[in-house]
Amino acid sequence: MDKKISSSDKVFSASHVAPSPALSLNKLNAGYKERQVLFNINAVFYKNKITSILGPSGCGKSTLISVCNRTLELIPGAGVISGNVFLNGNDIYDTAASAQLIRKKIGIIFQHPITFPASIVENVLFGAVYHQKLTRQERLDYARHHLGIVGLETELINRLHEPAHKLSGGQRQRLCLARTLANQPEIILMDEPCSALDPSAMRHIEELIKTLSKTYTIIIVTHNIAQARRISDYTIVMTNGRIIEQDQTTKIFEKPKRKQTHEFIEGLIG
Amino acid sequence: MVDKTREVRANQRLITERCFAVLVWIAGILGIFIPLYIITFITINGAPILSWAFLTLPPAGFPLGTGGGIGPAILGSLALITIGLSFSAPLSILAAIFSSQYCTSHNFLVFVRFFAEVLASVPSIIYGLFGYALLVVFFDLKISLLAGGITIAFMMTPVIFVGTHESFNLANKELQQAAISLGVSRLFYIRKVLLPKTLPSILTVIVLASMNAMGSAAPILLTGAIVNSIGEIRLDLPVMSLPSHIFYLVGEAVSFDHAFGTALVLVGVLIFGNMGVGWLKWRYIKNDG
Amino acid sequence: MPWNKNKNDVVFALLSGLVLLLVSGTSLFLIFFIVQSSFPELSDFINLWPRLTGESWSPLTNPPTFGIMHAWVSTLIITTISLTLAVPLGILVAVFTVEYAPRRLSLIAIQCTEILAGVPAVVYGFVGFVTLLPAIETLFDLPAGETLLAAGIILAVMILPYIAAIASSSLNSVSIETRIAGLANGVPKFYVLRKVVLKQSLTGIFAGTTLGLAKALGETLAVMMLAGNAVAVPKSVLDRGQPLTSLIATELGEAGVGSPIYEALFSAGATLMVLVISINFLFWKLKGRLSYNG
Repeated sequence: MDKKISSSDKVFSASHVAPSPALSLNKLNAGYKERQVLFNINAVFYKNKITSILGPSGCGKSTLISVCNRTLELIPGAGVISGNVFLNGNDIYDTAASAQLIRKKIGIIFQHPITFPASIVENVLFGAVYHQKLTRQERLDYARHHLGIVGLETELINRLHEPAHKLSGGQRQRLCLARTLANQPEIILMDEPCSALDPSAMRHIEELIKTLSKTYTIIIVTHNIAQARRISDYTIVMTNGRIIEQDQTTKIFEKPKRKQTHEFIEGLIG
Repeated sequence: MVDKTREVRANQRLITERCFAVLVWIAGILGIFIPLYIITFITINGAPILSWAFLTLPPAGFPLGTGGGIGPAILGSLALITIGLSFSAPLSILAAIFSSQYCTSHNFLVFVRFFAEVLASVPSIIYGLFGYALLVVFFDLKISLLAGGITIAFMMTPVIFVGTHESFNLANKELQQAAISLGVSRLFYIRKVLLPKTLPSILTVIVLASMNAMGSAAPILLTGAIVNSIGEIRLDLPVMSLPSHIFYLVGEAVSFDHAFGTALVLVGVLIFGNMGVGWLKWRYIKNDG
Repeated sequence: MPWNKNKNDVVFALLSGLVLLLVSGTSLFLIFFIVQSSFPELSDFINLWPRLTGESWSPLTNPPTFGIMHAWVSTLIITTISLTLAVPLGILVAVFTVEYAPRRLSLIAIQCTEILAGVPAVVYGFVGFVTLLPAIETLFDLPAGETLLAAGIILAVMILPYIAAIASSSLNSVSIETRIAGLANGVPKFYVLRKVVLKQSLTGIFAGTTLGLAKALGETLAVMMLAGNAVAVPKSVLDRGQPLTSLIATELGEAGVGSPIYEALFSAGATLMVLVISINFLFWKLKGRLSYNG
C-alpha cells in the first residue's frame, strides 16, 4: 500500500518534502451511465492542507471530488469503473468498507447550498444526532458551537429556531459547512462552494476555509484560477478527465512544467 | 468503536428501518394485489356467461334479468355518452379556446379555472339532483335518454374544459410567438396549428371524460335509466345503462351471474379505454420528441 | 402583439366568448339552483338547523319529520373509516413506488393503482357486496354484513389511487440533489426519507388527503349498496346507516316537487356541495404551495 502512494508521489519535484498523505487516488476510472469521465487518475491529498482542483468546465472536477467520498454512486448509473481510493491506507471502495461511515469521515459541500425543511439548529444537527448521542441541552450547545465556527452564531443568535430556507445564499452555504463540521469529518470536499455567491460572501467563505485547514484536510474544486492561487497549498490541473499537472500551488503558478498548464493559467483555454 | 450504547442504538435503528421496509413492501404488494384481485375476480366469475347472445339480447326471464342479455344496456350507455359528448365536447373546447387565446383578463381566467376544477369535483349525485329537478321535472323531459344525456354533458363539461385548456396553454407557450411572427391570423393559428397539435391530448381528455361518465350510475339512475327496455333508443324514452343494470341486478338480488357478466363488460370497456389513453399519450410524447 | 386581423377572427372570438359565458353561466346557475331549491323562501334558513340536527327521518308519519342527522353521522363515520385506512396505505404505496421498489415493479404498481382508479363505483359496490359482506357477517357474527364498516373499507380502496398518486408525485418532486445532500452526511437512506423527503412532501400528502376526502364525501352507489340504507342514527361502525348521497339517491324518486322531502333532500345536497367546494378550495391552495415549493 505504501508503495502505491509513493509511486504517485513521484509527480512532485524532488526538492519538496511532502507531508503525510490523507487521501490518495490510484489509477481511477469513473463515469456516468454511458460516458466515462475520469481516466486513470492518480492523485494525493495531504493532511491539513488545502488542495484545489482546477480545470475548464466539464473536465470532470466535480466527478473527481465526488468519487472521494462515494457520493458519485448516489447518482443513478454513475460510479467507479476501476481503481482505488485510499483513506489512511484503506481502500474506501473495498467491499467491506461502509459507504455511510466514509461519507461521515469525508464531508462534502456542494455548489448550491441545500438546506433541509427544518430549523437552523436542526439543520446543523442533521447528521450529528445520528452519529452521536446528545442530550437536549447538549444538542443546542453543539449546534451553536458549530455555527460559531462558521461565524453564524452571533449573526443568527435570535433566529436559531427559524426555518433554514429563509437564510441568504452565503448564510446557507456556511450553514451547510456547519452541518458537515458537526459530523466531525477528517476531510472536507468542496465543490465550487463560492460560485453561486456574491464577492463578499465568497471572501467570507475563503477565510473560513483557511482557518479550517488547520484542523481539516480540504479539497476544493474551483474554476476560479485566482481563488485557487489565493487559498490553496497544492493545485491539481485537469482537462478532459485527466490530470495534467499536480504540485505545490506556487510552483504550478510560477513555473508550470507543462505547456497546457501554462495556457490554462494564462486563461488561454477553458 | 466498541462503544456499547452505540451498538445498541445501531441495532434499534436497524430494527425500525427493517420494520418500516416490511410495512412499505406489504403496502406495495397490497397496491398491486387488490386491483389484480378485483379484476381477476370479475373475470373468472363473469367470463362463463359472456356470449354473443349475452352482449346483444335484451334481458329476459322472471324476475327480469335472470335470462337474456345486456344488449340494450350497452346501446343505452353508448347513446348516453354520445349525447353527453355532442353537447359538452364542442362547447367546452370552444370555451377553452376562448380562455386560452382571446381572454386577456388574468383574474377572470384564474376564476374560471378554479370554478371549473371545483365543478369537476362536485359529486356526481349533485349533478343527478340538478338534472332531475331542472330537466326531468322543470323542463318536463321525464326520465329519458335526453335528460340523462344532458346530465352527463353537465358532468363532462368541466372535465373536458380543464383538460383542453391545459393543453392549449402548453401549446401556446411553444407556438404562439412563432405564429405571430409569421403574420398569420389567430383563427388560422387555431385551425392549422393549435388544434392539430393538441389533437391527441384533446382525444385523451374526451376518452377520460367518457370513461368517467360511463362508469357513473348515480346521476343516470335519477335522470335517464330504466330497469328494462327492449333496446329502442329514442330521445324521449328512458334507456338501460351498464352501471345502472348492475345496480338493479345486485340491489334486487336478481342474478349475480348476470351482474358479473355486465361488470366484466363494463370494466373491460373502461380498461381498454384507459389503455387507449395510454397509447395516445405515448404517441403524443413521441411526436413531441 | 399584432396578430393579423380578419373578419372571421372577430366572429370566432365572439362566438367562443359567448360559449364560455354560456357554460360558466349554466354552471353558476347549477350551484345557485341547488342552494335555492333547498330554501325556496329566505325564511326557510331557519329550518336548516332542526333539519340538520333532527334525529328522525320519517316522511310517512303524521306529522312527517325530516331530520337528516342519521345521514350526517353515517357520512362522517364512513369517511373517517376510509381515510384512516386509505391515507397511511396510500402514503406507504407511494413510498413503495418512489423509494423502495425496483423500477419494473414500481411501474407495475403504478399501472395497477391506475386500474383501481378506472373501476366504476357500482363495480366496487358489487364486489364488496359479494366478498366483503359475507366476510363481515362471519367475522363479527352479524345477521347481515351491510354495515358502515363495509362501506368505509370499499371507499378506502376507491380513494387509495388518488392519495397514492398525489403522494408519489410530491415524493418525486424532492430532487436527487436534496437526497444526495442528505446522504452525504453519512446517514442511511431511511433517515433521509424520514427527516427530509417525507417532511418536504407533507404539503402534497395533505393535498392528496383533501382530494380523497372530497371523493369519499361524494361517493354514492358503492356506499349505498354496502351501508344498508337504515334511517336510524348509527351508533357504531357495525350499525347500518345511510349517508347523505344515498339518502338523496334513495328518496328523490318518490319526492314530489316542492314538497318538504324534496326541500330536505336538496338541503342535504346543498350542504354536501358546499362542503366539497370548500375542500377543493383548500386543495387548490395546497396545490399552489406545492408547485411553489417544487
